[in-house]
Amino acid sequence: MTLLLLSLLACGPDTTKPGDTLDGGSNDGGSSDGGSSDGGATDPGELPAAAAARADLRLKRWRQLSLDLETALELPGDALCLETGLYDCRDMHVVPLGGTSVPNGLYDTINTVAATTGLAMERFVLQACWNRAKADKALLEAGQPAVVFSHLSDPMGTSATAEELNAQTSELYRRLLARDPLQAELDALAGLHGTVLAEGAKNADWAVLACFTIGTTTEALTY
Amino acid sequence: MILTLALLSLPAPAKPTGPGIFCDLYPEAPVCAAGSVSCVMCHAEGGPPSFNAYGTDLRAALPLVDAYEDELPLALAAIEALDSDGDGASNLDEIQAGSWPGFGAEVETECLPQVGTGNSFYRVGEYDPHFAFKRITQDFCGRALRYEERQTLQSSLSALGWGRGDDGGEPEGYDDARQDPAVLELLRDQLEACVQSRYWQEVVWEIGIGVVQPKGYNSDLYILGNYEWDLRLFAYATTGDRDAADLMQAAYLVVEEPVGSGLLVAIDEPRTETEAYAQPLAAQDRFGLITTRHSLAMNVMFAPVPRTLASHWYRELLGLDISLSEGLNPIDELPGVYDWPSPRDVDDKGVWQEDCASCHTTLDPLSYPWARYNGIDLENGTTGMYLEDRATDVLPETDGAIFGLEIQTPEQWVAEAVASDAFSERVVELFWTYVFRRAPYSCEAEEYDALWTAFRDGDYPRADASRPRVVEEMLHELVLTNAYGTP
Ligand code: HEC
Ligand code: HEC
Repeated sequence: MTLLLLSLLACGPDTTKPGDTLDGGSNDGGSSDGGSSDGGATDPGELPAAAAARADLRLKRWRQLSLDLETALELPGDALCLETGLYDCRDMHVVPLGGTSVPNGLYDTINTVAATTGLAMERFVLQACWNRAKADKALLEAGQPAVVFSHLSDPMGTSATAEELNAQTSELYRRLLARDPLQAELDALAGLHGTVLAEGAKNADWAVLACFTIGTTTEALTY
Repeated sequence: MILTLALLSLPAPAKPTGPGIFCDLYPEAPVCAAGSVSCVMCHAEGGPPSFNAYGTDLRAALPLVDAYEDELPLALAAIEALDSDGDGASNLDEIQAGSWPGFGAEVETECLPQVGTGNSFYRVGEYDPHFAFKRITQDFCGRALRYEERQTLQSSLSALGWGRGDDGGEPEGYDDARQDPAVLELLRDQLEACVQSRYWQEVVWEIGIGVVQPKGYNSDLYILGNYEWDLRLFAYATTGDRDAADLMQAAYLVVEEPVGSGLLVAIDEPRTETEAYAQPLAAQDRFGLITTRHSLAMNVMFAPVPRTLASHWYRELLGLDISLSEGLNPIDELPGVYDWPSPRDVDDKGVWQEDCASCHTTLDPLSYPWARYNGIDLENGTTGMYLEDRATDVLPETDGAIFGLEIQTPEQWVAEAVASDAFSERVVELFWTYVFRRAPYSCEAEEYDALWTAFRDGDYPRADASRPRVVEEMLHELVLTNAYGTP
């Protein structure tokens, strides 16, 4: 489905899938701890060239993922992700996301990436973004300001200004990665807007995908 | 050893022509195809001018009559068939396979040389306080730094003279951030705050699950014991300023007070009848995790000789797995009877046989001291109790051995156990592995050893630490290792 493919779209240097980089070695030098590309100190248009050889990254476990999304998206933990609207992802995906399960006799946390880890993380982030968007939509309809997706003047529309897109992207970068986006990253997400809308989606759909794309970068999922 | 050389690519500094000449000769080598050759292809870990094994061979092959650049191609060709790093693959094979001819196969990728690479965000190859602070927050508070926190951190560290990145500089008089008391205070305050968090409590609980291996139900009325007592004890003994030896020596019980608060409190005796049912032993018979109702029921069950009990805790708290032939200290209980050292086989299970004795000469004497603790009793309600006359038919005395030392009582058993290197190393391993998600690399072995020996000896730089085996003190040292804080 398009959603998952889109997550592969480049937005700066850190779009490697989580599984690719967990224990270092094979990453392409785009990130040292995922943060090697965080902006601020240098010319915002410039991507950092060098990375650490160690690339000794750790994947966030479910509690970390959950806490980060809770704060970033201002949602309570139990409203982040429910599979089929019923099962809390924090329980359902606990083992692939590095937890234990006493009822199932799984006493040791997995320290590598399970086959389903990437998928579980993607579902978690995607649903969290989606649920935030739903909550924001409800707020807007009630005449209140949106919390996260607040920069698009016409969420259900099919066009947005560069300023709106950049403001929304920056909001998401600050919330999800605690930094400002690089120029290349702004451009990549603006590009994503074009792609998504060409497929018949709305501004609000782009916003959720942007959230998902940023939230599933190596930088967001590892440390 | 195959790895992605691109990670080590360096921007070419002034003089070196080595990389270019190398790639003229080996254009197809993965490292050249990827764009550039690291200096440490030939030079040593710390960078030029020292050489690694391959570079040393290369240099020896240079006549040094002409400019070395002119001689280099021939010298490179001359050492192709050698195996400079002695890992079994020739230099040429390694170059073509994209691995390092100068570093042996026993060196993990992560241990390969790091040199400053002009990274403007992190101090690659040195202890980086920005990186460490971020990681501490993620590991012990369970969360990423927020945007504003990150700004604040950057300005505080910059104000102290520790700017970001390889060119961030350092204040007069320091060449390592860990020498700066102000940096240490910043990191320690953060860790101190984080280990109080609910998140870290939950993590410790989760580490305990691996050790306790809970089975059954978490009810105090459950005949096979409520494992939550065990998990609470684990969490209590490995937090605060407690000596982790309590894991095997605590006579106290741990409750959560008030329930649901996450606050753990040690009590000397059960406070209700239900609690007394859940933990039926008298205080003098309690030895931490080993003698909880859950542990005795699940591990002793109906066996007169509690081999599984001994082997479980030998493995989980001392890191010694007898089934993997670890921690074997054979005691020959029947000298001269067989051609091999053998146990007495007190319960007639055939363990005297040569094939069995290799393990059971250790395991059986390790079990004897615990023979008076009852496992499951479905009829008379003595599950998990201490019974003076239990198993006296097969073991009139409970004399046994641990680490080859003769002992008589459980008290002596645990005293030897907690004083051992094995115990300290194991407790540190539990936390290290949770944090790093892996065992130490070979290049981290020295730091790791320093960590657990200091833990064992209670030897911590922080002034207020005086007791041995305090996990939180160990964590304060762990976050200051290169393994932890060097990107
Ligand atoms: C293909 C192997 C190779 C590579 C790669 C290489 N060098 Fe060298 N380097 C040499 C040799 C051989 C010498 C000459 C030794 C001599 O003159 O005795 C040398 C000499 C040097 C010297 C001079 C040392 C002195 O005593 O004058 C410096 C500095 C140096 N290299 C730096 C670098 C740097 C920086 C890089 C990475 C950009 C690099 N080298 C990459 C092989 C290499
Ligand atoms: C590689 C080491 C090893 C060897 C060899 C070995 N055992 Fe054991 N044995 C153990 C361990 C460890 C336990 C404790 C049970 C556990 O941890 O699962 C055990 C437990 C037992 C028990 C008690 C089981 C129980 O449930 O209480 C018996 C009986 C036993 N072994 C018999 C034998 C016999 C007979 C042989 C030879 C044919 C033998 N073992 C060979 C390691 C070994």
